[in-house]
Amino acid sequence: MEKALAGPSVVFEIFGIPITETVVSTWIIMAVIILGAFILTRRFEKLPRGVQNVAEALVEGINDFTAQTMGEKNRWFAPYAGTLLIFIFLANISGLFALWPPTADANTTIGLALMTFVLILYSNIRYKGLLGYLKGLFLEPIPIVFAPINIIGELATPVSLAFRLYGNILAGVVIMGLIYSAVPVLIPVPLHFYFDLFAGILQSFIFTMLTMVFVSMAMETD
Amino acid sequence: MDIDVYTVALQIINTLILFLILRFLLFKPVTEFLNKRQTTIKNAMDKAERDLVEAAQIKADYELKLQEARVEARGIIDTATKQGQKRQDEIVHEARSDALRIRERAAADVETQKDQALAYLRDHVAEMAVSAAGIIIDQQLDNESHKHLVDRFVERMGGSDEK
Repeated sequence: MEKALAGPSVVFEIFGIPITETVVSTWIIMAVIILGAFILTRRFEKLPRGVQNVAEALVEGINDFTAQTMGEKNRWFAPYAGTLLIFIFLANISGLFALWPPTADANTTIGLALMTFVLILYSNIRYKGLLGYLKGLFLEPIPIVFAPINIIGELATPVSLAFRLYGNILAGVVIMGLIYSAVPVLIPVPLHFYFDLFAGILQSFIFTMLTMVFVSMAMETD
Repeated sequence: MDIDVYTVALQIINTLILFLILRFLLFKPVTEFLNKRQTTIKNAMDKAERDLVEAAQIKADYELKLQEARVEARGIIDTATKQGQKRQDEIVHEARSDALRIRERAAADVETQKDQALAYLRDHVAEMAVSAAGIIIDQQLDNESHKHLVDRFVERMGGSDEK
């Protein structure tokens, strides 16, 4: 529990850059995902067999999920959405495998939220034009008066994304730590299903879904 | 917990790397594969549908042709039967008339032959009578027996002539 509250420790440093447990966990999760992707797509045949079905269902599911959320024309977003979904999900449940969940570190979720923010900004500027975007920000619905609220609203998106995920997962880690220190046997088992598996799946879906919704909203030209 | 710019940057880089690798390794090939298979299946189904329509068309054509052929065959058979019937009638008729003609000729022949034979007989009766008379005369018969003989002879000839 002290561990959960203290946060991830620095494992080692490369060229003065501190490598924390978060980063190490991320690398391990990345390695697992890449290995999994490699195994899933190793032998593709015309008639699907064995793990090929899993790969097809996964990719098709993510493609369809993206198309449903963002519209058929934005299927190209599926690889990023899928990466987010798979990575955040595995990061959330990595506590089950005795890893420090990277998403229980605000640095990870801020990084992810910043990427979403950049995508939102890019989509806004691309589809509305820089001037159109700034006009929407400063002059609507009433010129200047609403500008601070608009800007806060714009910045609130990544902040809420980052802290929603971080807060949920860290809270899970802290609560599980508390429970382990109180009752170390039996009781924690069903709670893992809730705090790690259920919250993990839910939060990964929420983050991915909101990213898709915000990006496709930014692409709408009204 | 501290906000650490290095870790944020590292996590962004990690996510980008993971995104690029997954896109290259998983999403792109599988999506392309699925699209290709979808296209293949769609093409196959389209082709099957086209073939089915074509087959139905061909079947209809053949059925029409078969119907026509049946009608034609019936026509041919009818014509042939009629012709055969006609020919049969002709043959029977011809045969009948031939038979009649032959019979008539045969009857006429018989009549002619009979006439000839009678004429021949008539021609020769006198001669036979004379020769018979000569023979009788040679035997020096008396008048009465002579007459009697001649009468009998003539009578017999006549009798056979009547038959």
